[in-house]
Amino acid sequence: MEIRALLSALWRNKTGPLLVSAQVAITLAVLVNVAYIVQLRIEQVSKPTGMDLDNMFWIATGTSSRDYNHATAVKADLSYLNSLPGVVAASTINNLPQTGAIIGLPFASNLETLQRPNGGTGALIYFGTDKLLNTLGLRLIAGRNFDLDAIKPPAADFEASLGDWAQEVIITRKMAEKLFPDGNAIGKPIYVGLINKSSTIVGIVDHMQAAPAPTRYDDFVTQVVIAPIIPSGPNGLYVVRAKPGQRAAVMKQLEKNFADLQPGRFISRMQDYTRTAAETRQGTRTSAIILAVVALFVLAVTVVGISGLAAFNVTTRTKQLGIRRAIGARKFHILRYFLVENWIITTCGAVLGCMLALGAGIKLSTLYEMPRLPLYYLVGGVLLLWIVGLLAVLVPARRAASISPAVATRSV
Amino acid sequence: MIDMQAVSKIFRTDLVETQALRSLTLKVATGEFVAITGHSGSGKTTLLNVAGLLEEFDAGSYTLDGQDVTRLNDDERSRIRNEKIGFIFQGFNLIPDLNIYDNVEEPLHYRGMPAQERRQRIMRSLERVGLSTRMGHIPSQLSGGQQQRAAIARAISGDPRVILADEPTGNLDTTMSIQIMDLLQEVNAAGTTIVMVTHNPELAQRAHRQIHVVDGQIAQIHEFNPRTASQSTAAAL
Amino acid sequence: MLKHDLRMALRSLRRNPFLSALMIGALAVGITASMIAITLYHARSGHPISWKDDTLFAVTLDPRDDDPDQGFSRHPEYPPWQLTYRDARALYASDIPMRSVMMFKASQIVTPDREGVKPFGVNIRVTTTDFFRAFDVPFQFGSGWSRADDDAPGAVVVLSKFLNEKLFGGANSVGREVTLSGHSYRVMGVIGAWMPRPKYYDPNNATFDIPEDVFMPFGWMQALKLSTSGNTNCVSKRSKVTSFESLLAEDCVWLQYWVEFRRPTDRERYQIFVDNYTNDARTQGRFPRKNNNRIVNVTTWLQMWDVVGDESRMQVVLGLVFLGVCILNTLGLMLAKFLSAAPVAGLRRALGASRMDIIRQHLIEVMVVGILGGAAGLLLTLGGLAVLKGWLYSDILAGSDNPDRVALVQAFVHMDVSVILLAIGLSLLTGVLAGLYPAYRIGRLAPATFLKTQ
Repeated sequence: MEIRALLSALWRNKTGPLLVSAQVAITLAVLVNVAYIVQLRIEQVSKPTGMDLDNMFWIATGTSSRDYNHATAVKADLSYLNSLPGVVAASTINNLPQTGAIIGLPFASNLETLQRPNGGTGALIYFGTDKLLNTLGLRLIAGRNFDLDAIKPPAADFEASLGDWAQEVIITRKMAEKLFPDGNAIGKPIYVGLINKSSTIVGIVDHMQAAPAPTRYDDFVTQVVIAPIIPSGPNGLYVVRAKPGQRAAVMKQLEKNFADLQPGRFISRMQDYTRTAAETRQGTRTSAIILAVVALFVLAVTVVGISGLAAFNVTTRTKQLGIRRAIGARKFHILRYFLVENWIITTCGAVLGCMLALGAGIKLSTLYEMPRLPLYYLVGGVLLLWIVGLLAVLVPARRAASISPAVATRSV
Repeated sequence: MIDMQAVSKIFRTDLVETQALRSLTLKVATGEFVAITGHSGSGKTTLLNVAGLLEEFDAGSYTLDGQDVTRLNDDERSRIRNEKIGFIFQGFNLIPDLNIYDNVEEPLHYRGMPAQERRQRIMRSLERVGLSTRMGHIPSQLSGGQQQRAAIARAISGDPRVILADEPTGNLDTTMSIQIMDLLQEVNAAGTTIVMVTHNPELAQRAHRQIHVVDGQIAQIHEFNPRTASQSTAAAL
Repeated sequence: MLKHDLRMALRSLRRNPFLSALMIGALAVGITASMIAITLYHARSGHPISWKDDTLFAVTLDPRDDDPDQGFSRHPEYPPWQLTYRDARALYASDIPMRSVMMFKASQIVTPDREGVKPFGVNIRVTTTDFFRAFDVPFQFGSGWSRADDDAPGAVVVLSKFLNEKLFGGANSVGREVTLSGHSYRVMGVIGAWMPRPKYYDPNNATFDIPEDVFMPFGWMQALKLSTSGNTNCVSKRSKVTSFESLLAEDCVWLQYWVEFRRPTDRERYQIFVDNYTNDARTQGRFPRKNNNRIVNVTTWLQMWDVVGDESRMQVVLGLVFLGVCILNTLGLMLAKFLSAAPVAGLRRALGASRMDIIRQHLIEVMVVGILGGAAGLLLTLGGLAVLKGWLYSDILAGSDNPDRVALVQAFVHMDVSVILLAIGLSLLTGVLAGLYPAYRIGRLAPATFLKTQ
């Protein structure tokens, strides 16, 4: 193969090929980094929540009446909801998981740790009844559920509920590992900062993701403490888990009759959890889609550029190709010449592109608090560009190979 | 060397059918220097293309250097062109982006020749045409005469059996034309068969034989410089 | 001359329509991506009250513990965005500012008077009365309440235009009664169309949002024990929260605080006052850190909040990089096209055209490509923004009966004049960038090169 001649011919006319190499380089840098960002975003929205969201829904109630008895209302509501044939379990809750509403406090296994700077382990807090675990679909892996008499009735306001705290709590496994690395958290005390109270850990659930978050916050959103407290009113917030396939029907039924169970109150909002979780993730999903679309467009433009330039080269080099055939080149030689020439241009671009990609990756990871670009993305990107570059030049190259050797003798 | 029997070629377009070669019979002996003349449109270029396996033909048979080349596929024809035929064109047809050395080397690549042998042949050809000092130049840096000499070096570097030349001096001045013709005669004297298309009667006279083509057929054959005593004059067909 | 060049340019483009379409199309797509990103970026970088940049300031103090930052914030050196109740009250006593605004967001239920309209939740801004003057809030009917109403508190409210339409059909409702969570208030005023973008006066929870529907005197916070529906952050380990009242006493931040000065020079006086206050508090065991009291104007405030955000910036960079690739692409195609037509140019030179003539003719062709690419890009941008509006915001648009929310979304995908001008400039620039080198190359070639054989 006349590589040296190919290279010197390429070098003599280097502007066109250099432009293509530059495009390939930028395309590689863009593709690789965007692909990585998209992967991170997808990861972010796909992590397991630990909850049975597809069967769950929530109801928020409000009242305009001044003498609304929140405590009796909650009791009646929960008993009604849990009696419905289509319902697995229902509970009150203070904040909806998988939304932006979170409340967190520092916890520790002893008081000294709490007092130390950054000594406590931050956890997100949820209040609920003994049915909360079953409503969310959380799996108890150690200990037990709450005792019925451990459940605190609603206090005057949120701060009072918090200040009162509870005797027992259930925590996630992640939390247990952080607080008691040697194992066996059951029965041990757990201290909470700000309100400076302690309670006993009676149960551990496997996994609960309070909200979708980038990987660097993974720990933070899976460290959860559940306390048997009925949140204060007058607004009510219930989470309900329906039997498979029954969610829509139950929701419809409640739309009609739930509000009127208590005088002077109404349903301010009701939504199925699948939708809630999707809405929370929509921003991340959208940005990932936009990035991916633009990156594909960049690839498309470069492919078109490679293809267009090659096609143009074929038309301008027609005479030359005829001459080559006349002096003995076979169709295969012509095809190979184009493919090799194209491969050299693409590879030069790819080498430069790898440097650009790494540089951009480092810049992005410092600017946007992302982990560093993994090297196998570069490998994948180069392979992709080789394949795509090959496909782009295939049609013009075949056309070049089919130029008749008689072209050599025909005048211009 | 060349034995064409009743060769016909028809060019078809949507509207017109042109018969470029009509049942043409041509024999060229090994070592001959034959000039083919004719007006434009007479079919002489087509004749050269067919002889050089650049184009296929529709009827008849063609034996080249003892091998029947009538029905070969594209790859086989390319191989024979590469090994047995050397081309020289009116417009030189060097590849503009390559230097002279690379241009001369081009056909040797397709033969899969080892680098050492290639180098030897290229240096030899360049010396024969007197261009050894210019092998690093690209065609646009050379005069017409020099370019044609480079083309000749390319044509002979593979030791072809026959050289097909299409108006080799058409773009050259008188001095250079004489140079080129001298060179061609030298090459022929060394044993290479040469078939040259020309419209210049003076140049045609330097060949052994002149074949005049009219309307795709051979009209006349003149002997100018018969090589041996036993040469027959052929009759018009 | 120009007309002739233009005609020749168009003819040249028509001669190879596929190639021309490729060149124009490449530029168009690149311009579209950049312009959509720039439009979205521009929408996020508004400054809603630039005329008050010397006089309107957000006040932040730093009562945080000595605890080093846990890495949640990109700027741990910034003080918390909000104030504790103790500190807000203390600052409110100063007479240096012309206006002081102490406020937070809460939520209540409105029970409409109208037949058949169910009660619904509304967002309330519980604030001191200076809010309206400080933020230049326009009034449709009536006005804000008095300082006395702040303290009493007076049973008065100000409504938003939307809420007024929903409750009273848009009529002048000043003097009429509104029931909020069981209590009755008299309407003091109704504000007009007002949607600051971004919501600079309270970017906590959402940097872009519609303003609240009800404004209520600050005194109701204590009278009704109203909790904030915004963020609360307890910044000191010694804090102990056991009840609503404890929240008011502890080092927990949840109030937004703004001041407006008569003269820009009052700001230095105020800074001294605030620093003295925290120095004092330090002697009593609060404010363990060094003074980090920042009194910032809206421009600085918006920068600190980084309203524009990483996402927008990334999109603009990506859009411009894409445009760069498209320019390189068109440049390559243009170069190939010009060089392959070099013999014609050589011929023209032989017939008397000067080098400048050739360069000019080719530049005109280049500019035509650039302008056509830009025009196509502009149309595609408008189309793209419409698609974006429909697809991204369809949920918001569908589920809301509040036209303000719709207007908020529309403002994001709206190309205002400055952006359109930028688009035009960008397309001209891309045309020049893509074509300058090819035109130069073709002009530089000596005519004789191409009149020789081959």
